[in-house]
Amino acid sequence: MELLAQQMANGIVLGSIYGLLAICLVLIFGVLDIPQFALGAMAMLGGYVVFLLGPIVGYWVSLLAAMVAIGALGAVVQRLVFAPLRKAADVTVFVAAFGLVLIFQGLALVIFGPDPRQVPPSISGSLVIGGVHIAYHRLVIVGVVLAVFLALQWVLRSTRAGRVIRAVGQSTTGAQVVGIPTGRVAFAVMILGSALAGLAGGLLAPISQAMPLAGDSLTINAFIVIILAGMGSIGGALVAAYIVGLVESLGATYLSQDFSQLYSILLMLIVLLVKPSGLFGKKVSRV
Amino acid sequence: MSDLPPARNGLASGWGPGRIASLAVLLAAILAPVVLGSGYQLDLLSLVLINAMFLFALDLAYGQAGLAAVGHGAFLGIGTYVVGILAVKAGWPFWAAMPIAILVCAAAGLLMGLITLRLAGHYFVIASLALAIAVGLVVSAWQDLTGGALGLGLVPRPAGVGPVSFEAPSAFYWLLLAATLLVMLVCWSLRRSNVGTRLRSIRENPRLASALGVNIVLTRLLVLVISAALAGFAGAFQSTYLGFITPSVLASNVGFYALMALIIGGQRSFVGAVIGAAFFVLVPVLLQFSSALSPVFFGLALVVVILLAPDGVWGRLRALGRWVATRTRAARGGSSARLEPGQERSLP
Repeated sequence: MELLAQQMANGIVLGSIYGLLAICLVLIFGVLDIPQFALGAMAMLGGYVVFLLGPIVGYWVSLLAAMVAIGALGAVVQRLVFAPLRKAADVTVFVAAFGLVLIFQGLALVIFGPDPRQVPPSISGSLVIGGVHIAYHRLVIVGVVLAVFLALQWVLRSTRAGRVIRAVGQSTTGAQVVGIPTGRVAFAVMILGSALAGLAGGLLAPISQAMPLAGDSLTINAFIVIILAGMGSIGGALVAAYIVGLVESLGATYLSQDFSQLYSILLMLIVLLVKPSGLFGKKVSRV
Repeated sequence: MSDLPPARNGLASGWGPGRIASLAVLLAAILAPVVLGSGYQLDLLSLVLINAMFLFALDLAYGQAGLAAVGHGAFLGIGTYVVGILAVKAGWPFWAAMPIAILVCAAAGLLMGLITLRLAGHYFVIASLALAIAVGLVVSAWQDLTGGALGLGLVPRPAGVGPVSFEAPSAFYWLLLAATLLVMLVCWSLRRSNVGTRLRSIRENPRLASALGVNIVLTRLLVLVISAALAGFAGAFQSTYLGFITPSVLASNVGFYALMALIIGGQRSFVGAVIGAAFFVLVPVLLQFSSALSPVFFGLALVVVILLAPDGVWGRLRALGRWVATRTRAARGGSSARLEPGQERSLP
């Protein structure tokens, strides 16, 4: 029973990280239609920013710095790579994003080396409830992700900027017709999404350490979450992310550690076969 | 860029830069063991051939059928493991195991197609990538059969046929070259067949093709199966080339690297695929002083090629060749104003 509760807590923390990246993807992939496969690698770089600056300026300021730095990186990437590929084929953009993954990972490897780097948590120590240990930092992760989710939900629902973003998401052409500068909106959304990826990496670094390959499973899982949820809502993405986190954590404990990645993939395939539009998706586009 | 060189009149007929380059490459490939001897360089060249076979297969799915086959590395890996397992665990000779590898990969391609082809665009990409990852996970974990992370070995070289033995590096290289030409022939005939025509019509305008009665999903499924089978064929040779197999042949980035190589070299062209394969094999060797730099270089090269030369290195070289040809013709006072069909069309 304690094991179950412990693993469920771990699953929710894991799900929160996946959820934050999935929210980035809902913005970048869902609104801009850019399969930003390098988000996980950008999160990884965010972890290194916290590793570098954390001891000097403290965790929270370094977390902010990670958001700014990775947001800026997103701006550069959008300007140099994705904006020029606006009219390119789906595959081309996908493979270009994979090229970015290689560049980021390779640079991290060249600069920091392959060894994982320890990053101190925001608050040390852990909460003990009925034999279940939850590090305070893990609670911080869950709380920050929920706060980001609520803030974004409010922005998207109730502000002018949010309406503009949703308009572009529904139809770029339609948005252009009513006078929305879609290029500038895309730029802003890319910066926002990238900054959130930096946040995810900075949050994750204390529990998983900073290392060059840290982003790979993040990316895959964020895409799995998006497919599970179906495109469209950040709420659906967050719920699906909790499901993936729980499936991974419980599967690794009760079934087999070797296959921890496989459970969420199987879940995704089943959903794809039964309901291609995803758990919470509305429409599905076919070939 | 149309698939086949447009028919031309006069002297140039059949002797475009593509034809000349292909023949030169073929001649160089045949003579390579004589020039290079049988050392490290021939070994690298053998690896280029195996990768070229795989890229030819990948190009069917990617270049011809327009499928973002990032999961295609799985077929190469499955082919490698099927031959490896049959040879090591059951003692099968290569020539018996290879057809099995082809069949297994064709079946895997069919399964993957049935699952993923219903999905559009990005969803296809992610689903096929996830399937490829799943295959890798299963192979790593199924230790009794595959040896798991410890690997599987040793896979012997193919047995000799009659008086010819394939033990010597040069003989094995020529065998690989023959296999590569065979894959090329299969791809070429497929492109020339009416399946190729249907694929072209789907690429140019899927809706029109569908309205004219082309079954898009079925055509793509057929090509995916053939492509997977050819990838399995390449995998069989990779198995005996490596001798010792580890799950790294099924890593999810194999498919990505292959797609990158194909895009950098130039899709829908055999020469482009060979350039891509050479790039893929030689870059890590050239950047040996820092193994971390080679992915950075790959990534940069890829992004630059995608941005500046969407038709790849070979596409640019070909355009350069055409430009030179037009200029020389104009200088000779020929009909300079003549535009060749399909000359300046860029990729969609």
